Amino acid sequence: MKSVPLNPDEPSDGLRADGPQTFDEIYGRYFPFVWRCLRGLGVALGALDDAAQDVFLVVHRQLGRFRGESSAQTWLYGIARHVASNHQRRARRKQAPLEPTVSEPAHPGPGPLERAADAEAAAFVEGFLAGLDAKKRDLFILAVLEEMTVPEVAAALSIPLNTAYTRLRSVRADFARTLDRMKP
Amino acid sequence: MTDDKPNLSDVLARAQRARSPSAADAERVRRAIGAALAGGAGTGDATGTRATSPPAGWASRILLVGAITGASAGVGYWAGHRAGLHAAEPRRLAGYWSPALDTTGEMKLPAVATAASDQTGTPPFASLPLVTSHRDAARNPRRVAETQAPSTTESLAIEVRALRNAERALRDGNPGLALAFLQELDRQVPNGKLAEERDAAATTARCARGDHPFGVDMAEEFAQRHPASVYRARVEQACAPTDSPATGDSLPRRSE
Repeated sequence: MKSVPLNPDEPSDGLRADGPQTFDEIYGRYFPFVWRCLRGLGVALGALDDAAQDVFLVVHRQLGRFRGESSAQTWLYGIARHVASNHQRRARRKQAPLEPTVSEPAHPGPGPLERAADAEAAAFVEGFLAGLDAKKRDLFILAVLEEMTVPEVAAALSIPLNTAYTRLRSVRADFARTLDRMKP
Repeated sequence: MTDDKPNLSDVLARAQRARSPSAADAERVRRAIGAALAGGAGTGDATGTRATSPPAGWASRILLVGAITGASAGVGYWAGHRAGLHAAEPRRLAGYWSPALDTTGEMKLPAVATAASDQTGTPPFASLPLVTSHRDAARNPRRVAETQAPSTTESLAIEVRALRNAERALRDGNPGLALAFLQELDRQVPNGKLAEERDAAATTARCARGDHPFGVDMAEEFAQRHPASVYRARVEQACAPTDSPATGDSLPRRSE
């Protein structure tokens, strides 16, 4: 198995000067991003803890070698995609470990109806993601859900900028059509 | 959607809100990472593959590193011995620790941290080793053991290993063995960092074994001890009342 991309072997000075410098800072800033990406990449709720942990263990190992040529989000997404793939492969082989069966909501404020609507929207989005091929899925997660800029996404996915724009228009149209079909 | 006319941005905003982790999620994973790193899990090869990266999870992941592994294997052996299962099921027990280390049959209890050394909470990530290779650990476990802080690191490693063993035993439908691992853990590391996880595993095992006093709701008691626990649902599921012959209810016999 090849190494996680965007993490060359030679040592470097670490992350960008304007970005997070330590593991704690990266964890604090990007844990929600990693968590959502893992969900979007199809990691089951019961395996999210393990997957997130795996991502940050890789981050911990490779922090000193991250050159900062890409954004931290791009780097983390590459790791998350790799970890998600491994988890899905393992999930087909073995039973889930002892894990919490429900995830506490991130927003304790809203009432049950609000939560239900949020959960319904999340299920809709994740169902839509599950039906996409990997190229469109990556683009949708990064550009639409995580609101990264298209040039950033194009660099993260190693695709030409115009391809990214074309693919993004296509996937946005797919999403809008799917959403229209949900309307009463 | 619950709205009559959901629009794209509304759906996306709601979805993002629901898909975001809670503070409890972040803290739970942070603790698990701290435990895994303390056991050496963050120091390995950087391929990110399961074959070379360490196992992970509050009860399912700790790297088998050098002397820690050897010492923990001793714990597992001792736990199995105490459970009275060593003589009867040596092959079955062997699966609960590294196969490379369970062949001697010798009782090798590790030097365990004192309770007092275990009161400092999860160490910050910054204090954990960043670049030590676990390949080096595999080559020279004694050297690694000498360079690691023996108390906190080792006791946490023992904790995670015991919890992993207990979890495996539970998954294998052997709550008695899970309890044996946990009891041994209580003896070895009485005041560990993973008290909530221990309690969840022990309560789950007791409920799975039907080992609870009459009229006592184990799940409720667990919830009182840990009102914000993320393991509540799991414990409640394990402790949910089921009909048994003792209740007087009986299923109709199937005619054959």
